[in-house]
Amino acid sequence: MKLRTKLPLIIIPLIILPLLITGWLASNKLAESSIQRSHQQIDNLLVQMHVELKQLLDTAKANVVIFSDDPLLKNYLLTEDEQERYALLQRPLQKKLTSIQLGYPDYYEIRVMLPVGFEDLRLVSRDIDNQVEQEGESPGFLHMHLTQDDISSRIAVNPDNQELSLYVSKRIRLINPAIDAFTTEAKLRGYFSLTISLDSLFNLMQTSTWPQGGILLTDDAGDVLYNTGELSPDTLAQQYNLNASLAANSDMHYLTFNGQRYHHHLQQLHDHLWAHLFIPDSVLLSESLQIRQLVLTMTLIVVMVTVPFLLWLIRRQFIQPIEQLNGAFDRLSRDEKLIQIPSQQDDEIGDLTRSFNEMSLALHQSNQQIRNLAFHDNLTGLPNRLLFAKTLRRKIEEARQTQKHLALLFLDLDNFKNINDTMGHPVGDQLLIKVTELIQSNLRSYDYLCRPGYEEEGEEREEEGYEDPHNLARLGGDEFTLLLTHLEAELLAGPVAERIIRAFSDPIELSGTHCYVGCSIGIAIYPNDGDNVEDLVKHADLAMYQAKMQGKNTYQFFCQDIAQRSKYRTHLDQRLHKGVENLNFHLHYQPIVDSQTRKTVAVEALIRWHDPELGMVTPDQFIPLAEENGLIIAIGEWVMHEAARQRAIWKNSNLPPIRVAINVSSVQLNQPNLVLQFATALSQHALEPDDIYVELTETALLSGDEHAKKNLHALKEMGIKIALDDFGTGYSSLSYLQNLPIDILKIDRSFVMNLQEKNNRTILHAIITMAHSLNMKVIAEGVEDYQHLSFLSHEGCDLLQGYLFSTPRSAAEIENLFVISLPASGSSPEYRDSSSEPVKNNSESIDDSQKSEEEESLQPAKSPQPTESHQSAKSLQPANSTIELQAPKTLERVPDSPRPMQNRSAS
Amino acid sequence: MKRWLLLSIIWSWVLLTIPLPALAERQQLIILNWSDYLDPELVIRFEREYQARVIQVYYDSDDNRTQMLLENNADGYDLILTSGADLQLYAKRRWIRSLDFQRIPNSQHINPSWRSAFAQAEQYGLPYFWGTMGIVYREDRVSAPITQWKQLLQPSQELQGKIAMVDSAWDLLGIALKAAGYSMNSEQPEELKTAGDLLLSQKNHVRTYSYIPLDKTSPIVSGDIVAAVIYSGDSLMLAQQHTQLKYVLPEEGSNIWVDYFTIGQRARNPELAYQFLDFINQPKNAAQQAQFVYYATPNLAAEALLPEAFLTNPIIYPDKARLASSEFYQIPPVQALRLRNQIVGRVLR
Repeated sequence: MKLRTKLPLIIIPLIILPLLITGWLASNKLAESSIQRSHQQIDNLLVQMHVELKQLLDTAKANVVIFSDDPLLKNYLLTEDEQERYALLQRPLQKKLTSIQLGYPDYYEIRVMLPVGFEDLRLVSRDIDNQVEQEGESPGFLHMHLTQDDISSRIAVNPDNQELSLYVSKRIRLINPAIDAFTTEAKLRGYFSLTISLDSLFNLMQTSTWPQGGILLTDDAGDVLYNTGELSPDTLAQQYNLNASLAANSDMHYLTFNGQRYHHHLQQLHDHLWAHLFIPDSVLLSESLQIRQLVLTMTLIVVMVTVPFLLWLIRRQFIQPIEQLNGAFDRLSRDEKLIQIPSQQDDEIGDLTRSFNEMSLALHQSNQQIRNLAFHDNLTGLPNRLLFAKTLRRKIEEARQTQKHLALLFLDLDNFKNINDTMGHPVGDQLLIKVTELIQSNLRSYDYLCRPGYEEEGEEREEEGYEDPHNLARLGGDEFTLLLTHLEAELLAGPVAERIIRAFSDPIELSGTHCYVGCSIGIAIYPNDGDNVEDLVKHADLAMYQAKMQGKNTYQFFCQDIAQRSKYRTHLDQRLHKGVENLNFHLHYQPIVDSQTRKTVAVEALIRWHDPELGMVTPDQFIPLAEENGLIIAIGEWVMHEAARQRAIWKNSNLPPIRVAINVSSVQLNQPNLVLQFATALSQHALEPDDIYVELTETALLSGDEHAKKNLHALKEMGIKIALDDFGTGYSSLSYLQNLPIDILKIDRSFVMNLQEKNNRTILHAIITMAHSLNMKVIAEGVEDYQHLSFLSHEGCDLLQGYLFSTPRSAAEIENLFVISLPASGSSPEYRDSSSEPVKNNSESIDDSQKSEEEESLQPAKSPQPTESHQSAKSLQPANSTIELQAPKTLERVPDSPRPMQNRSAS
Repeated sequence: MKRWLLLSIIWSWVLLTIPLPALAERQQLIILNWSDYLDPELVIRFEREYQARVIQVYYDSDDNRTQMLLENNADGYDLILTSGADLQLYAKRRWIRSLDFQRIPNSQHINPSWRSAFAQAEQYGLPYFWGTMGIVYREDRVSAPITQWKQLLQPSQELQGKIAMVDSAWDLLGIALKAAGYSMNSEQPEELKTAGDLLLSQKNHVRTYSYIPLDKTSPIVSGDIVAAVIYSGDSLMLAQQHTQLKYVLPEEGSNIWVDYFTIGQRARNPELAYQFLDFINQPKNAAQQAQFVYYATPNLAAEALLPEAFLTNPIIYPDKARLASSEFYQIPPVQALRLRNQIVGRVLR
């Protein structure tokens, strides 16, 4: 049950019941006492009547004695002569009695009667005609005549006026002193009689406090002598036997009369005179009823006033605050907003409310914190991927509704990994913070940037009309996103990206050193480049990737090509897995020629993948992919074994000793069991370590960890030579040349191909000189014409590799070249092939898409140009002739599409 | 009880001893009389001549006189002046004694017709004055002269509440009977009842039933009363107080009264009483007396001494015609008496 029901249900009965019981008891008690009082009043009235009558009677009796003793009266009665009596005595007596009557108005009739009953003198204070003068036979006269006492009293209806009156009379016995002797017995001379009005008694009766109550006076027989008029004595007599009640002689009865219950009180007032008091129950009880009603009404009023007030109080003081709290708790669990309840109360509920507020505040704050943590990047305070995705989703939704455009900028730092690696993670973190600040400071007001702590109110602020908020977020690592929601977002995206990139052109100070950090930006536009979060991000990412490939520090809008390539890449990935499963690979070999002897001294094993669906796939397409997805390990191992097998075949077929160069990727180099694999391969095919050598790129060395170093040294110990591929393009640090067990330097083909550029000749000269002084052999790649050949031969480059000698060929094909000097004059097919192809390739040398197809043949791991080992260096003389040949420049296109990929994998 | 006895003994002694010296000095003559009915000069003269002391006890009405006599059974009154009607009753009551006219030589001057005007009067009384009863009124306060009893009993607006009647049963009923056209001595209950009704109807307009004073304090002088019943001579006495007072003997006729001096049965000093009666009936004294009270004296010798103006005053001596319709009071039978008492008692209640 709810408190709002329960509390009133408990409290209201607790108040009402005692109130009602008290009211009921009080009303009962009061009613009872009121009835008692009424009875008392009745008794009082009856007693008063009795007393009144008695007083009247006593006074009258005393007066009768006094008046009877009057000499005039005595004289009058003794005067037997009527003439004397009437002519002389009557008038004076009359006067005297008149004065008595003045003094006692109640004695409305004073009579002097003769013994025979003749009313000799009658004095009335009212005009009452005398009915009878000869009273000798009247009951009144007989009564006083016959009573024993001289003084008699009687209450009867006066026949003269039909009024109930009190008669008090005295017999007057006198001795006539003039005639009689003193001893003579006094003779009855007459009667003195007072007729006394009972008005005072009647008045008493009339003033009774019971308006509907009647008072009757009856004689012994129950005949009504007087009534106060409220009750008709006749009808009463029909229904009620007064006589019986008199006989019962109890002073209280009940009777029902005229359908009403009456109390009948009885009191004897005088001999033969009874007072009957009839009071209806309703009247008698009316006061008690009134009292009861009053008390009950008051109780009800109190209840009616108290209960609503109490309910109101309970509601206001307890239930409402509790409900409020309840509701607040409810909302607390649902809402994310801060919930505070206003409270002015001083009591415990107030305390509770305040506690709730504190708790709610604390909860809210910690919620915010959690949200911040969940949705923000710890380091930079920027929204994290999660929040970014959420925000972007919302923005997309808004944009969809408003038909707006969005621009998503995907930022990636160019050299972050290097810095992280070389300077440590704390510095990397610092860099990220600096970069964040840098980006933020370069955003204009309309390129609004989402800062930490903004997001929590972001939604509201946007709705408040903030124009085009833009969100900068950190997705992780060195990846940032910036969302432009400006009306012309798609137009602004480019300038904004430019501005950011420009900002990166200044060095950033990191723990005392100045670093140059670039930034590549990919841009995707909603809805053109995707209408959902995933697509937009993916496309922006791809565009960024594209920008990176374009040489970093630039930005790139997403275009469909990228998308397709990405799709292709995914497909490629799938196929590659299949390829590895089915081993759809084979190796091609490109000869490496001794510059002196022009004989092939080594071949570089170059992997070829022919996929049933994709056809031929060039290494530069799938190798980076394999490095990424880890298949390179399996592929590398296969290459190692296949090369070893082929070498064993050649060895067994008595072909000249040709070393096989096996490319090892950086991933492989970091494998702890690399050396073991080589050892296994060698022993499996019964090869000497000298039968093969390993080619590594500079970047593979640089990015390699401790394992890489160990592996190098272990290979060296095994006797396997190590060649450094692509030398001169990277750091070309001399220190590692010194520290690492490197036997051969393979000069990057760019130097050779652009030989006409001024410095390249000098650089080549310097490298060769330096290598030789370090006891390293030098291989030049990209030898495509005789000019190259003659120059390199002249400069003393030990080994040469390039189309001038041969394109990579299958094992069977290449065998033929082992025995001849190269370039063979008849080896024109390649020239022809290549000359025809390069025409198109030339212009598009950088274009990835097409390159893949042409270069397939020459794209082994990294180093296309076949170069001869040290021994064959002597046979490389025909440089001159080749110089003369002046191979057209068209051949140059071969080079380095793989390079960016390598770079990328390194970064 | 003993204390009471002692007290009464002491009182008896006081009462017995104190008057003795006074009695020894002078004889006392106690007269029960109307007030102003004896010339003080005459009284003084009598006291001087007879070494006596005259004590007058006054009554103010016939009933009052009877009442006084009843109280002590006429004991101690030497002379009792009574009306002719009551005289026989007093005689019957044995309050007065029959007179020895031998001892009143001047009684010879008395007009015999007045002496026998009432029953037993010849034997018990000596006529003193006679007169009539009439109305005195303020001429200046009435629009029309009052000439009838009826005007008094059924008063006009100007008289209402300004009437003075008398409380004597004889007079009151007599007036009413006369006004109703009956005999003053009517015995007929119906006539008496009619008269009684007249009186009752008049009652509300009556200012007082007391006989008006005759000095200057009289309300008729002040005007509080405009008309009053008065005895003829009194009106003349009253006339000295106000000029606008007029006396009238009503047309219906009135009562002719005669006052008699009687000697009490239980008189202390009857000798002196005789002497006093003889003294006041000396013609000269009687004439002086008549002129003092303005009443007609029955003393014929005295009449001769009176001036012409006195003798022709119509108030004192009304004309014969008026007197003819006037009556002496006669005692009616007992039943009528009782009825009269009842009626008067009711009027005067």
